[in-house]
Amino acid sequence: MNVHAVVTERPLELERVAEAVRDPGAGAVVTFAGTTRDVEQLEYEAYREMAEERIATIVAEAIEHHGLEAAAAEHRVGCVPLSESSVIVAASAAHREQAFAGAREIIDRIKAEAPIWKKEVAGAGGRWVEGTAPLENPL
Amino acid sequence: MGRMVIQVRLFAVLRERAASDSVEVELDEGATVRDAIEAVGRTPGLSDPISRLKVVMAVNREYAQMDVVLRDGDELALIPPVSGGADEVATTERTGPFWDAVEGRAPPPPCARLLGWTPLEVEPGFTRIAFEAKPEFLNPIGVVQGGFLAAMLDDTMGPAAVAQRDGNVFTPTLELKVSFLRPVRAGRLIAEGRVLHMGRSVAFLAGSLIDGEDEVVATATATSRIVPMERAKARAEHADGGRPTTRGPRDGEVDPDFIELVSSKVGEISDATRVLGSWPLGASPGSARVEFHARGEFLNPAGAVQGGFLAAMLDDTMGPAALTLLDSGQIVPTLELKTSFLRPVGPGLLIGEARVVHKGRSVVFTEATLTDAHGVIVAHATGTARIVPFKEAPPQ
Repeated sequence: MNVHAVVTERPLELERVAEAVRDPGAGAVVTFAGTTRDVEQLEYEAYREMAEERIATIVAEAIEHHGLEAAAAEHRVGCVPLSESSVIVAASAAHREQAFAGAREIIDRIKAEAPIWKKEVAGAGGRWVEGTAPLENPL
Repeated sequence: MGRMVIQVRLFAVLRERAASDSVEVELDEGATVRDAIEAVGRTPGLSDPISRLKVVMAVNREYAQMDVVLRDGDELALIPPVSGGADEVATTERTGPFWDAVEGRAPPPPCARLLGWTPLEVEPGFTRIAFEAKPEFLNPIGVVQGGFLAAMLDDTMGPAAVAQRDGNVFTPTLELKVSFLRPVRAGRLIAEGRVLHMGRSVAFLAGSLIDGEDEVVATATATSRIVPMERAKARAEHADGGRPTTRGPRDGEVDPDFIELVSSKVGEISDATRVLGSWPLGASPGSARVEFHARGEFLNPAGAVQGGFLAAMLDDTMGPAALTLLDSGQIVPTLELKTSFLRPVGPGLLIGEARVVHKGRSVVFTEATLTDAHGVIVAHATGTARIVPFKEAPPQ
């Protein structure tokens, strides 16, 4: 199974993530980029070892659920300035319906389950965004 | 039944509140996730966020239910609500005088301005603030007078408590204890403040001060009351010392005993002393009296003199009292200063009186009071200082 899951401090590149799901059987490749908006910058912190494992599990399960050829997700940690990507997801499948549904499941689950936190930084107004408790979500 | 000691990793808001990326908890064999969360909740700084947030425990990198039994050697992490992949940013407006000062829409209070107060981060229960230790804060041996460090810590811990109550309260300090770990040079300092516990009317706070080389130079704990801003202002208005609030430079002779017993030991009156508007009134072996001028620059948002400056005055009275018993060429850097703030005090003249409680070979214990025009004690302090030869002072 072609699973790609990375948590990194480096800037994310859409091309690189899309490349990771390239597959001769894929008639569709869907990519998604989550981008910092409306705030000077976001600061991400992760329980890195667990986040990478968790994202890999999410990606593998999406491949299985939707019959994807391959799927990939990368999450950035540290400071992410305005307009840069904090998370990128790619899914390839024989048909576009599978690819869209698979990419959607991956980003929704990363958001709810990966042990990653973000702090809005605007002037002196740094504060942690209060998200959701992971167990409230179906695993 | 056996006991086990387990490390619990902390992240994000929990890591900041605990000032550490992990805590150690001791548990009975057979303890569950619920027991471990309870134990972590007893760590200073963590009881509030843990009771307020829905935290989850990860055991060996998997989310675990509350009744899961832990084993020695498990990898535990406490997970606050996650927000990583969220693409929504819900910024709620922070308004009112407190947030206006924090976010630069209004000038900070006078005491903050004097200290070069620049907030880097202010969130409920946690603050990180930059200060400027100016050359005029230095004592005769060329290091920052401890009282100014106390003022910086006070001005860092208070806002952490105010922010936890949405900026709508004032937190007059009841008691402040500062430990001075290292001598501090003039320059930029970073202070962190955190709420250890917040009740309905009292908050327990902690702070630390870090220099340009990333060394912790001072730590503090404080106890504050939590009062509506209007009430704090009303109290401060009635707290005027009753003496003239402005004063020209003193003329005439300094008390000869003070010159003989104190000034001869350290030479010139220091810049720090000048900032506090101090004037030596007298000294005898083991005691000193000093007059101070609490100026408008020392006022907090409620219009009372910021506690740190009162601590600085007390420190600047206890030092001379100790010097009266020392040999020439010895100095007394303060190790620890604990101040109780009995009443709010407005601008005006204050009298500091200090006495040596005990002088050992290398340590001296002192106490001091600060009284207003009516002879009412407004603050009390105890101090511990080291006795060192002047040459042992850190190089300039």
